[in-house]
Amino acid sequence: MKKSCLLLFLLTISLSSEASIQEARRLHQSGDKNRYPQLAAALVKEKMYFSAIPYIKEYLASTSRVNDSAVDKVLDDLITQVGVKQFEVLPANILEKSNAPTVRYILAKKAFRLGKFDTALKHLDRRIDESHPVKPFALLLEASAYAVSKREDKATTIYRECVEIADQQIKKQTNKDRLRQLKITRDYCVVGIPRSQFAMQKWDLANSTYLDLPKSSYIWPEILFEEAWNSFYLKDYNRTLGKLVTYKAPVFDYVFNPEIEVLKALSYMELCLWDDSKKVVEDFYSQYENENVRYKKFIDSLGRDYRQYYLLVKDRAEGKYRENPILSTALASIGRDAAYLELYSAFNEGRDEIERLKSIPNDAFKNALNENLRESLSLQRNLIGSYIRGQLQLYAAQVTRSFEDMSYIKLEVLSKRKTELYDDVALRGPNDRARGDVAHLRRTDKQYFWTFNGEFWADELGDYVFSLKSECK
Amino acid sequence: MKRKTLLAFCLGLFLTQSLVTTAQADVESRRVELIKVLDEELREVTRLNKQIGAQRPDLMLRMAQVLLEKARLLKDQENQKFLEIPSAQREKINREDAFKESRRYFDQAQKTVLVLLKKFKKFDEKGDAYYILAYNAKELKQEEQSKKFFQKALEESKSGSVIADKSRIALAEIYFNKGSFDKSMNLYEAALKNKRDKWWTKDAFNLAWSYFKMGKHDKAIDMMTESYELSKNPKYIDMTKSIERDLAFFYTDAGKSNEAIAFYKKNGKSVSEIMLKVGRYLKSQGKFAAAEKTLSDALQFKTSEKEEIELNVELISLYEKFGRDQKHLETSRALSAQFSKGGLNPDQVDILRYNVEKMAALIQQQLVSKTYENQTEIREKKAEAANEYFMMSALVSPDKSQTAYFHAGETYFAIGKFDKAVPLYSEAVKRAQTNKDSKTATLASNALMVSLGKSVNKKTTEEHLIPAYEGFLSVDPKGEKSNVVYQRLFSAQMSKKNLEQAEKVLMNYKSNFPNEVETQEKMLAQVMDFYKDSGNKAALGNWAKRVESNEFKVSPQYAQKVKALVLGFQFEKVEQASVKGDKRGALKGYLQIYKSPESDADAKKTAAYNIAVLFYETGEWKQMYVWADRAISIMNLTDITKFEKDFILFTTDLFQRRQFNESAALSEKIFDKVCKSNSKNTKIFFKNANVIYLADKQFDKSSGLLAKAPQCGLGNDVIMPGYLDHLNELAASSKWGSFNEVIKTLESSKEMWPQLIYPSSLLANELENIGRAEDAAKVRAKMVTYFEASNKAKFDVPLEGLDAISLIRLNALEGQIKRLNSITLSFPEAEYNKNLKAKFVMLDKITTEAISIAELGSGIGIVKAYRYLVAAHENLRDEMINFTPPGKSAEYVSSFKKGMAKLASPLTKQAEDFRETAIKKIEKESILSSDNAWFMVKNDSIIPEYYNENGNVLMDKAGAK
Repeated sequence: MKKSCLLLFLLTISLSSEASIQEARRLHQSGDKNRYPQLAAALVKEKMYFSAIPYIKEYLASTSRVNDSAVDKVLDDLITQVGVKQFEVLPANILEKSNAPTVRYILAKKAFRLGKFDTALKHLDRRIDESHPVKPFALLLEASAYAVSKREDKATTIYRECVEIADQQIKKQTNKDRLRQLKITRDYCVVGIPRSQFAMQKWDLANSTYLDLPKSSYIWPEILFEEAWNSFYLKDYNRTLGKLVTYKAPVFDYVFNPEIEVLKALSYMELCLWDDSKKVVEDFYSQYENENVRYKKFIDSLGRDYRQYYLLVKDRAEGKYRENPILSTALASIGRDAAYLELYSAFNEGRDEIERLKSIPNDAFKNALNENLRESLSLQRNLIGSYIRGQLQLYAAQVTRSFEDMSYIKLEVLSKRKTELYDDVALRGPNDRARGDVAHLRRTDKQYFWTFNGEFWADELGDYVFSLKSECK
Repeated sequence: MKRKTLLAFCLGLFLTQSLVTTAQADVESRRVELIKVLDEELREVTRLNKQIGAQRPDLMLRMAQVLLEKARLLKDQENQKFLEIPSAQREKINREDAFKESRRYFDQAQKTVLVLLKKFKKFDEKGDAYYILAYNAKELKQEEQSKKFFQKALEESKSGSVIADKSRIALAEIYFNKGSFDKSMNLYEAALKNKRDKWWTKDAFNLAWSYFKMGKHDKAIDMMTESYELSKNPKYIDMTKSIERDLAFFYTDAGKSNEAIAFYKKNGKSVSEIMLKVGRYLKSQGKFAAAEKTLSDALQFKTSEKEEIELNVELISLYEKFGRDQKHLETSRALSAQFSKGGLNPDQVDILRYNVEKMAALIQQQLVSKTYENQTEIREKKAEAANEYFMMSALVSPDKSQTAYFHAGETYFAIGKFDKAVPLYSEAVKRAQTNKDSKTATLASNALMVSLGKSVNKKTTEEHLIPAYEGFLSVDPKGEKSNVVYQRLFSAQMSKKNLEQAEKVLMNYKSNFPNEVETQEKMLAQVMDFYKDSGNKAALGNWAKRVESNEFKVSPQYAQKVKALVLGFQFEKVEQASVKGDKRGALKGYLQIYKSPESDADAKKTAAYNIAVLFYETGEWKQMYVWADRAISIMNLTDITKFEKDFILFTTDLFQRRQFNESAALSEKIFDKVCKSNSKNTKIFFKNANVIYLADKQFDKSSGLLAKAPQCGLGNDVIMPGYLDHLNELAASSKWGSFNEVIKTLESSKEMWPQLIYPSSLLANELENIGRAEDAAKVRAKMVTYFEASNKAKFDVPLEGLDAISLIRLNALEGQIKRLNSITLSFPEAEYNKNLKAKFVMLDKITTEAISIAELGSGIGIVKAYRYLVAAHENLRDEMINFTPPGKSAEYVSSFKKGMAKLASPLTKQAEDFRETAIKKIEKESILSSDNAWFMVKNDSIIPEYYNENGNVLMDKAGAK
């Protein structure tokens, strides 16, 4: 009995699948672009998302406006599966033809990128159903737009809503990749609240709110750095240093953030621990100065060959290490990047379509689908490569900026050291005003007290607090 | 004095130099450190430039600033090195070379700024760049250039910017220093609109002065007041001290004293403190009258003793300068009183010291130079004032106070006030001694002696004479005059019956004049007489002891006198008791003397000896022995020799009472004492001790005694018999352990050999008895050697020795006889003849030996030798007669027997002769021998022999059982 039921069910599916392909073939053969959304819908039904993309894009380019909710639904379904990147590359005027929530989200994101926060908000102000897959992402974007527009209260409310909706969807979600995206989005919404508080200089409040993010979160390592900054603004430099030392834990060796060292140097400087501060600067220079030159040279050599970039990360993920420590860490970091993972998982899904395509009889339709798939996947791979390139460039810029920051810190330290030396006993007479009045200081070994003993324990990560005594007077 | 000052100056200079050197080293080390930092800064700016990859004006400006800063530091360094070069050498050095390095950096800074200004014409911080140029010029002493650039910096910077205000201030300072107060005023006014930095108060202070100089008193006061208020804020440079000082002057100059008081009161400041500052300021400006008024008025407002002191310190120098004597004295008194409370700091003490010393000296000079000779009242007042100043001087300089007292004394001396001078001199001496100032002590002491020689009243004399003597002696304890002064001081103390002090004087005199024995003896006699008269026996005894111990060099007569005095004192009563027959009382008395810690060795030995005598008389031998022993222990040779007959009596008494041990010990003890003396009784004590030790079987003690005998000069004539006694006693007691050692000792003297034969025979017998026949034979061989040597030397051998030798030889003779008897006569005839012949030969030898033994002189030997001879002859005769040849015919036998009888008859005769000879000898020489009976008694069976039950001899040599 059970066996016959199972066979029956599979048969139904098979029959249904065959029907969708037939429908798609028919629509394709008709050559009517207006019917491309139905064609795409039929392909989506057959999980042939990447094959469907060119049809829907073509439709969007050719139509003046999408007034059919069914089309919007196809768009929503498609974008949800392949990611927003494939459509982000479309010009805004094409996207604006659709009212699909995912498309609105893409438009808002593009506006946000351009710093047009109001426009972004406008794209999002029309209601998106709570159960819609893009809802949590849209809420995160909306709250962020409010936050950067200094509308902290509004931002906070929406971040909270985002957390709530994301949690609801998480409970229902079974797809592994989607689940990760939802959790990451939820967590960004969690930290969105302290971030906006931080931006409003409510550091005390932010200090507590950051605690809402559990250490188990995927994004916790990067947020720890923000917490360190928050402590810095609270003048709790020992806590800052404690948080930063967490990055020394082997589990965080993939984190690429040269600013960690900058903040460290800055914290020592604020504690008037000149030598320590200078040491961080010098260590940074000696570690990265030459490597950065090589790093930049390397990424310049790749030019815009996105495939190479794609392969770089892929190789890294497969355990191939690069000698250049900046490149190696950067690749590791990208390999764990949520955006990259989203792109990459979509790309993998796309490759599954190749197998599915094999079951379709050879004809013009199959050829068309083949061409579509190749085009979409090629774009996806280039999007990945582009993203990687962008990240690598960004890191290079970060390192360069960090050098500058480090130099300024060192100059500041040297300046303060001079002040001490001048003020101890005046070299140039008691009324010389060339220098400040910071008393000359000398650190004693006893002033060090540091609870961190070089061992990292998972439950202690991020909780280390230095006990360095400030030598400022 | 000059040397001290120089030393102090040098020390001060050294300290100052060392502080300066330390400070310089510190500055230098920081300068080096700063240059390092600047180099680092330069490197960093360069590195940053490289990172950025483009020239940026702000970085160029930064670089210029760093270069300028380094240039300034290098210049300081070069300047310091330049100044350290000796001036003569410095003149030859090219200044350009000396400052080459800094110049290079100034140029680089200048060049960088100029490039910056040229390249970035629109750079919005050009003011900063000009400011650097201005400072650069200022460093290079290009004042006009500097002024120009500051002006340019002012123009190029934004009106309210920091650099604009800094440029204004820099310009204002230039004008202020030049005295262009109108310009400095305007620039300061503009720059100080904003209270931009901590230096505002300092600049406002200059602005106030600019106002003041421009006659704008009110504005000046207002600005000062504002700066004063801000100075209280720690964010600003604290100018309160300068303002408090100068504002008072502003107020005074503006005629606003009341406002000044109100201001200072409001600010919780002491008016008097400020007036003090003003007063000081006026003084520094040469306005002395105004200063005096201000300072003396300030005393009314004083709020603390500290202030009062400070005011008085300022005033005193003014009074001194203007001859305000009375005020000066009063101020000095006030400051001295504060000094006593410890309220003056070292500088203030120095000022007070200077003033009081100067005034005291000044007045003294006036009095000595007789300025006021005819103005008695003034003169006395002056003297009092001088005295007061000297006392204050002594107060503030306690280590030199003796000089002040001495000079005070001198002051009174100069005007003939000796009664006042004497106590001051006296105090000067005391203080000079305390402060170890011998020079002043001498001067004061001499002056004191002289003053006492003047017409001073009795009280002064009584009070100061002894201290004067003491003072004199303390300064000059061995001087020529001192000899007499000691005697006078001694007499003065004796007349005051102050024995303690008198004794001290005596001791000091003794140590300083050790050869003045006669005077010491006189002093000693006075002291002892005092104690004798006052019946203080303890003190008297103590002094006597010291005399006896030769602490003092006294004449022998005096020493004897003292001894007699003490002994007489001790034995006086006891002897009286003894004379009265109160032996118990006498014993008690002697015992007390003996036990008394006061008693000396003489008293003790006399007491002990007398006790022994008393016990001898009472027959208590134990006590006699104990006390005699004690007496001997204490007595010296002379004493022993003096009483040795008595000691012989003691030892004899003990021997007689059979107390051998005590008797011998006492004898030995005395022997030890008289060991090396010429005492006639040394031998007696030795012999007695030895004999009694041996009688008591104390061989070890005897050995000890014998061993030390040679050291006491006793000859072998005494020692060897002692050893012989010892040897004999050892033998008699069968103590063979040390026998050979004694023998060896005795062997060393050949005269002793005859004496050794008999004891050796005892040893030989003992050895034989215990089976050591070989050893016995060796001893006997030695005995023979002793005997033969003695014979050769013609020493008499004792009878026992002869007996012993005879017995040895008789023993050998006995062997020969046995061998003779062992030859048996037997046939055939030839063998018979041969054996008989041999027997005759042997008998002849035996006869010769036996006669030889008999000639030794030993009774035992004579009798036994003859007995052996008689027996040997008779045996051979009997053997010959009784022999019957076997297997022979009767005729042959008969003939043989006849022939043998004939041949044997001389033997019979010989035997008879020998018998007779023996009997004759026995009778003639009264020989008592166990063999006598063999000759004399015909019937063998009745020869009696006596044995006691124990088999022992009845008595030993000492008569003991």
